[in-house]
Amino acid sequence: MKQKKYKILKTLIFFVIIISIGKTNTLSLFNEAVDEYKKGNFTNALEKFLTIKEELHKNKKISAEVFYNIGNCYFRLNQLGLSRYYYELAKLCNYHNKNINYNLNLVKKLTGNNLEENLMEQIVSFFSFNELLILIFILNLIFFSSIILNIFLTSKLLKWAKRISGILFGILFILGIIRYINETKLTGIIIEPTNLLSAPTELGQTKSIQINEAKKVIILTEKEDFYAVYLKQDKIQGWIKKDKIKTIKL
Amino acid sequence: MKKILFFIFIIFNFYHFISAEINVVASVDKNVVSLNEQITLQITISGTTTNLPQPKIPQLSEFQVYSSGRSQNISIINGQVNSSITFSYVLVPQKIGEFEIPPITVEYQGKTYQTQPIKIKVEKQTSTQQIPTEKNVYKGTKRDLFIETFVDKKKAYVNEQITLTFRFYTKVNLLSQPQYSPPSTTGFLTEDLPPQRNYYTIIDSERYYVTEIKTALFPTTAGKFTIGEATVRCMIEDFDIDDFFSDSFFKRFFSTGKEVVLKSQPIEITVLPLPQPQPQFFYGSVGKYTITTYIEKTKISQNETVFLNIKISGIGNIKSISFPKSTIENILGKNFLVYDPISSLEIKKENYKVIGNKIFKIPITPLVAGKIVIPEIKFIYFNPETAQYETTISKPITLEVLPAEKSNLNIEKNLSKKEYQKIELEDIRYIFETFKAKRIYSKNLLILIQFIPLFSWLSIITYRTYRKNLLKDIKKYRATRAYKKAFEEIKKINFKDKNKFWEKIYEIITEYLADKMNLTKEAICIEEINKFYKNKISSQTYNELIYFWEEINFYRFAPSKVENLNIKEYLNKVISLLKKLEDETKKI
Repeated sequence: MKQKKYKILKTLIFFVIIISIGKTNTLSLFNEAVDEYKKGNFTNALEKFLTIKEELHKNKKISAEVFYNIGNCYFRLNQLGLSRYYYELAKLCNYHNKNINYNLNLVKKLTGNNLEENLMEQIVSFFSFNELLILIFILNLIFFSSIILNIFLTSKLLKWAKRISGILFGILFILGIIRYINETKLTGIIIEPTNLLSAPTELGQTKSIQINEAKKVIILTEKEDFYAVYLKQDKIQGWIKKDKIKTIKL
Repeated sequence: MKKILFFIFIIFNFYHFISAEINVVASVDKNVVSLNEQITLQITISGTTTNLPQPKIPQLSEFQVYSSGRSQNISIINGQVNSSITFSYVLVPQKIGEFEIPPITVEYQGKTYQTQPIKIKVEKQTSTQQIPTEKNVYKGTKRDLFIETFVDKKKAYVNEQITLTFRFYTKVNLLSQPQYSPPSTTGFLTEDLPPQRNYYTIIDSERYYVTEIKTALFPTTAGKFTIGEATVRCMIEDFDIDDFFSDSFFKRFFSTGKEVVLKSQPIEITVLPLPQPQPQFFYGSVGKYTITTYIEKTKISQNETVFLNIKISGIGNIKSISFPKSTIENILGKNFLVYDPISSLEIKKENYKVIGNKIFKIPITPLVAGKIVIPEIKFIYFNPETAQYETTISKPITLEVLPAEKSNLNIEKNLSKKEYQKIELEDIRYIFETFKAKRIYSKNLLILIQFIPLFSWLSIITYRTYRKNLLKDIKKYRATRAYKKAFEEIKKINFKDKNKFWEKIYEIITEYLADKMNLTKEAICIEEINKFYKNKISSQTYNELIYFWEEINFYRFAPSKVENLNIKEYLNKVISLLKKLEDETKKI
């Protein structure tokens, strides 16, 4: 019995040590990367941040700060497509962070993509999808609770609560559906200047349009090495090689 | 309001419609040809509309005319549509002499546009164009298909464009899409030159279908380099028309074809170094360029950061154009803080030349107030056509810098320029020095919980409706609740008081039966039980019920007779009887 307890304890200690070593390694690597960045060695810093990102990914973890710092490195290395891609990922992790939003907007402005969203989309994207879902749930709860209570009780306050929460819930529910439709669309960022082709082949195409990096595209379908994409700002569709696009997915 | 908007929309579209202009240009690849050669005539129609018309080709009796397809290019910049269609024709001269291709007309919106006439001189046949006889020719029946690669020049300067052309000639049906492996181009940067052209040509009185792919090559260093062999794999019919009556003709119906591999000859290229000495501030750009500079606003405050845009446009390897930050710092002097430039590219491929522009956006912050001039900026490039270094110069820009009320840049502290830069950079783009990692959560749970309040409300409504309906039918209500009620009462039985036990159990059963029959307790008797249950339940259960009911009725008046009886066991029997009754009546 004692031996068994000792064995369990040993295994536990082993795992604690392994986890703490892993954490210390990632932390020291992050600090090294920050130092490299401060020194202006952006390529070295980028390599280290990317290693941290991979390590976290293996453990099914994400970090807005790591994504953001990778975005900064790419920005310094003048790869605005990849820079925007990582800022977008950082925003998915930390929606209202001022630094992330500032840098993302700066890249969008520099690449002429600052008018991507129309007014409705700007309203819908005021909250993150999670925040919107929580808000809808709260109003949903107030609305239905007031309806249920109204079955047993009659009160003016309940009636008003029912009306106001009902209207707000209705509005947010519609916004939520619009947002859900947008969220389920697979989007990507063009990471380097490329051609938008009229057919999924480079040999047979007769039409092509030059597309600049850092443009956000909606991915409609895929065929072999190509994605069929829709460019919302320019309102055009076409085919782009898969290696020119990075899909925004955590 | 809607009407006004509609009116504006109509006026805008009408203006757009009437203002659309087109441009028509015709060109030939050569003006002097021999009788056995061919001329490629290209008619390009361009304009600010996507609905471009087709040209009318005049009668050309001195030539055989074949259409070799068309290519379209559409570009949308800031919502402005520019499109062009190039119609390609192959002209095969029929006789010697000097001829003229008359103006080609295009009609658009009631206007007629026409090209300039083109003079063509057809000379005596010098030598017959041969199908290449190197190893790239497939030795099939009647030389059915072959490939060739060639370059526009075999000597070029470093970073000068060399156009590599690949052509695939075929006059037989292909059973599959040909697989093209481009040649190896070590020592060169490559850029695709779309569109791929397809046309017909005549060689040795045979008509071939040609697929042409062009690629721009930019040598990276001086020396001798080899463009490797291009390969095409395709499947052709395993069939010869000459053997119509032989077995091979019938093989066609069963054969899946045969694979043919075609290879081109490697090409040697001599890359010349750029002439020495190279001028100061030359960064390796080769081609022909112009420089322009602009700033979004010229009236700014002292600590405000604006973008100085340096746009270099022209023909050449646009991607390789560089403009180091140090050069800009030298030009702007001590009056500005200069940050890392950000560049953007726009590349087009027109007439198989790489053209476009590269814009360097340089964030600059004026350190002093007043009128500051951003001086002219020079860009030096090597022009391979003149074999000389040439300079393009931008115009100077005058900035009006207003003094800052509260300067972020604390000039009084005499900080160095690098320290200012660091402060400003941290303000603009802050790097996180710590990080938190979190698990990836699914949003599905948050979506699913949205339905909880709705389901709760629906459940309450359903239950209330059910109860309401139940209360309307008192007979059904009593019958439904009878079993549950009996059980609740059984749980309350006190086993210690045996005298009261029989009284209680009799009461429970009677009440159960009364509820089931919708009668009062007092009205329950053998006759009523018989009337209700006789034909509804099995005779065994019926007998059991009568037996128990009579026995319990007896025991409640003479409890001393059953003092030795285990009442818990007896109760279990009663419970099982009630269950049986419930189950059997439910089946009815």
